[in-house]
Amino acid sequence: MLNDRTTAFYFTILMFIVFLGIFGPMLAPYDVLTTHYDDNGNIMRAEPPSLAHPLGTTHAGYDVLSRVLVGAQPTVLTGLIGGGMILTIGTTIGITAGYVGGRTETVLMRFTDFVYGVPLIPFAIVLITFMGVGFLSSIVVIGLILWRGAARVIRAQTMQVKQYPFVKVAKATGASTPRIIVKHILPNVAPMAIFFLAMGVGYAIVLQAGLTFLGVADPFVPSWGVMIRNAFDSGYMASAPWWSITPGLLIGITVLSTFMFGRGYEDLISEDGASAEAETVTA
Amino acid sequence: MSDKPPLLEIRNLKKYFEQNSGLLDMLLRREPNHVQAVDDVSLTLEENESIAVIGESGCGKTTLLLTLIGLHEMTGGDIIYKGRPVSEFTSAEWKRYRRNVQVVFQDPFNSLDPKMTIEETLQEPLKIHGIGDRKERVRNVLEHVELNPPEKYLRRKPRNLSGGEKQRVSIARALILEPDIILADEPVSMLDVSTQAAVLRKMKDLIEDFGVSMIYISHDLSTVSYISDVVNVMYLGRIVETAPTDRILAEPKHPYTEALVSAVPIPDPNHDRERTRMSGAPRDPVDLGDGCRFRDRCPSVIPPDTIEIEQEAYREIMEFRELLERDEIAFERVMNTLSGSFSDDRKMADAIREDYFTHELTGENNAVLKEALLAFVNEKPEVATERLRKRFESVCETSPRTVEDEDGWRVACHHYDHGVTEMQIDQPETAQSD
Amino acid sequence: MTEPLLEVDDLTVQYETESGMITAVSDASFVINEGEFFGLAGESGCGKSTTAKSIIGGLDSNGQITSGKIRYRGTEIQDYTEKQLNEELRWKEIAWIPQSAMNSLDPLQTISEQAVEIGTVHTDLSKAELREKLKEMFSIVGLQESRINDYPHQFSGGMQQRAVIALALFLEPSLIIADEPTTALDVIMQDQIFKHLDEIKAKLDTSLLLITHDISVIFESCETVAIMHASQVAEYGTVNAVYDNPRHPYAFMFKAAFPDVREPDRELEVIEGYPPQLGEEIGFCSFVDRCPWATEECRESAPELEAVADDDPIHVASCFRKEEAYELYQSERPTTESQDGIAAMTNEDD
Ligand SMILES: Nc1ncnc2c1ncn2[C@@H]1O[C@H](COP(=O)(O)OP(=O)(O)O)[C@@H](O)[C@H]1O
Ligand code: SF4
Ligand code: SF4
Ligand SMILES: [Mg+2]
Repeated sequence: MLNDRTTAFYFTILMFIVFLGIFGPMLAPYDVLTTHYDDNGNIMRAEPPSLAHPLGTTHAGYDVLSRVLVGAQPTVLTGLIGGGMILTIGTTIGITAGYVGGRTETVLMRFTDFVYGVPLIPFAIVLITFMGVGFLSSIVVIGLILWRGAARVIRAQTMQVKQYPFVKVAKATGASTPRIIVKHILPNVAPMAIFFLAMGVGYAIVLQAGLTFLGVADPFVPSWGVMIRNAFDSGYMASAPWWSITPGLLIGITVLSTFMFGRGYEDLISEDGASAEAETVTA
Repeated sequence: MSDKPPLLEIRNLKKYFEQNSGLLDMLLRREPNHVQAVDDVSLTLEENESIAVIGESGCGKTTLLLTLIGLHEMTGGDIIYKGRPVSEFTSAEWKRYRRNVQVVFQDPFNSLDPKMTIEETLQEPLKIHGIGDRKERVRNVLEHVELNPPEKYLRRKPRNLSGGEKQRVSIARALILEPDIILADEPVSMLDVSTQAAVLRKMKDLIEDFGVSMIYISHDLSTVSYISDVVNVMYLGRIVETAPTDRILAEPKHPYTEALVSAVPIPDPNHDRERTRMSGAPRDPVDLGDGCRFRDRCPSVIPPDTIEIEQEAYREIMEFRELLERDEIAFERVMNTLSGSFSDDRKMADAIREDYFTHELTGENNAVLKEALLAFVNEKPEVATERLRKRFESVCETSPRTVEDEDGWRVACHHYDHGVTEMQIDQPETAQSD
Repeated sequence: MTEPLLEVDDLTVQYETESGMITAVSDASFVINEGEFFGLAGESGCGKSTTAKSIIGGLDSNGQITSGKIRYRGTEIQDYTEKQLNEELRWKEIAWIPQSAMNSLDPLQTISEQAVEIGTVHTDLSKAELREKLKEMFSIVGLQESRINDYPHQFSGGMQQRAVIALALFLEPSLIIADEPTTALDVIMQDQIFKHLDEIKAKLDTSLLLITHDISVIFESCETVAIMHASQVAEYGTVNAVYDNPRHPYAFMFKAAFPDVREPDRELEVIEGYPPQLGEEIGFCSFVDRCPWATEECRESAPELEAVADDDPIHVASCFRKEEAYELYQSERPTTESQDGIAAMTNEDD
């Protein structure tokens, strides 16, 4: 079980990552596109960590630490917007379909099935021709497609919660549909929604990097995802692990912290009054 | 009779469900099957009265309840609340109805939202109906259901309550709007005895002290006898008998009620009770058609006057006819018992007879059954059906009318339908042939 | 007298949990004779299922018999290994109908396939012989013989229940242990099943250990009964003795908590409070916090099961005040119907 302390811990990590997102560029020791040379005038290709370059350099002689710090911003934005879109669209469609049922459900789920059939890459290319190449469009593309898994699962959960007697009682007492959704359905599907938010954040970060390399977004914005791609494409992935390990770890930590914090927070707000109340009674 | 309308009147209420028809059915434009969960149910609840609806699981009790609170749309008939038909309700009237009619469900473990504290759960109805003084009311109602002191419970979540406590919270939630009617669906069947007794007692007090009226739904005659004044016995969607509780227990009239009453275990080793004579289970309530719905299990199903037959043997024939008409004779299964040598129709007919009949028949009865079985084996089930119908057709294959005597005792069975001259006979509402 | 079929002697069973050892059964004793139906009653959690499981070696892995003996036909079986249990006892001597019997059938196998599988493990009979036996049992429980080849889903709930009973019976065990076999069923179906059990008993002299929280079923169908409260056997005896002359407060209050269709106006007894959480040592009467007649003595040591009358050696109760409690109860209980008074009184007591 999660408790106050662990939740606070993951919250701190998330805050730290957001902090990087905001202040990273200011903290970066070098420009991200400056090629560094050694004393002999050679490009410092994929040099291991040193005092001057604590996280080493890339095969183009860029400073990895600076790139990680500068890359925090686009990464955090990608996670927030992408994950947020997946959560919002998925939950809205899932709950509406599951709760309202009937024709609305059929239409929404057919649409979801349709989106399942849409391949991400071609769709991205088509969409970009309308929206133009750019960092933001690459995230929006992801958000517009990847809500589908969340919608399906949350619909199923909603249908299950809807069957419970407590929802029937609420209806029989005269509770309106919005009220039932907000008071009963949402809190009960929240754990699943949080799971999809965390997964969404991760997917968005990784996929955005992939899209960047198709020319959908500007490849010179060095998000963490882009860094891993760069390392991979350069063929130095294995020989210069410092290049990709830090961004990789950071992505992992972001996803994990989102999930753990979400779960912990959800647990906290739905925490049982028993412990707190034991004090009030004896007090 | 006073001129004041009854509190709640259910008139010929019907609730049918269309059974999920598969794609194939849709393509072939087949008529969907109808599950006749509630079929022509009429009953009346007077102010400060506690009535029960009792029957086996699957007989339509819960559907009736959900239809009463408007969670299912009625297929036919109407519900009249204080003189106003629900079918004509304005939204203001719906709101009033939802405030005055409350439910308590069977399963205490899922009746409360796990994410809400007890206080939130109890405040919710008040918020929905814009009622103030919420803290005070919640405290009071918790005291009423003996969850003392209320402070101890307010901030708890359901998972930290025992089953009995949960069910008391459900009752408290039903009470907090000061309703005139509580509908209770097996509210104690999942509780332990000592808890059950406490909850039952609480519910009885409510009726007596607070003037609440109650429809109590259950399959358990023992708890019903404790809590209700009048019992409605339901079988496959229809009410087959209605009478004051003591009368139902002392002199059940309908053969099904009789079976039900005589099967109730008596907590007394000195009491000698005979085990039930019934066998089998109710069939699915799908497209039941005309006739008494108990006829395939009824120990006293009425043979035609023209033939002489032992009652048990006749009951078996009725059961078999029912299966035959529904195309549910397990031909292949019986065939498999005839190890390999399936060429002889007669052998096969005998095997089926062996499988489905234990009683001997004689004379013409025997000859007809033999003939019918042979026809069936020869892949002429219509002939078999017709042959048996001609010989063994019972008056029970038409729907019995509901007859009522001057004490308000009502029963729907052909044993009382004719011949009971002193009874005032109701206009038959069930006997429309469609 | 002949040797009893099953003897449970001072049985104590404990579970190891995160919050330490808990005692589920504490010094329980009873006897089941051949051809006897024995009922074990009590609230959920009082240790009924644990008692039964310990007889057949079916305790959860964190549970263990910490003291006491279980004898089957005179042989101690509490320390039997899995192998011994399988070879010597299970199915052919002692059959087990678990609490959720309907879920105990394998949906992917026909009933006869399941029977053959069980039979091959526990006997030397041939497939054909096993199927013959199953058929016989099907007809005893009122199912068509040819339906042994059906899959479980082809049966209705009540029929599945009977199929499970037939499976438990087809190797003709001497003892059937049935845990709440009819709790989920309607009264008519329940009565049908007991009708079949009665017939089986008449034909085969089978014994039954029936676990249920419904005392009316026991009073009606069993010869002897034990009523348990929070791990302890409160009272044990023939159903008539326990009914007519109950001694333990839990036993008579439990009995009075049941509605009876013959007396719809009788007030129901309410047993206040809940059974206690039990740790490793139980040196007190487990009913003490709920008992209106409790004294200091009841907290200081656990009462032992002792005979209540000289002329009935079977009838025992574990209560320090067994001589007087029932009389006190009856004298406090008004003879007329106004019983709310006593409810109020007992309420104030605690
Ligand atoms: N596997 C287990 N681990 C821990 N405690 C258990 C386990 N099984 C049962 N118990 C506990 O043992 C006690 C008796 O349980 P049980 O024998 O199932 O009672 P009954 O059958 O009378 O309902 C209860 O307190 C129950 O919670
Ligand atoms: S109408 Fe016929 S079948 Fe129905 S209950 Fe009466 S006697 Fe039995
Ligand atoms: S009197 Fe004492 S020993 Fe007897 S049941 Fe009550 S508490 Fe237990
Ligand atoms: Mg149990």
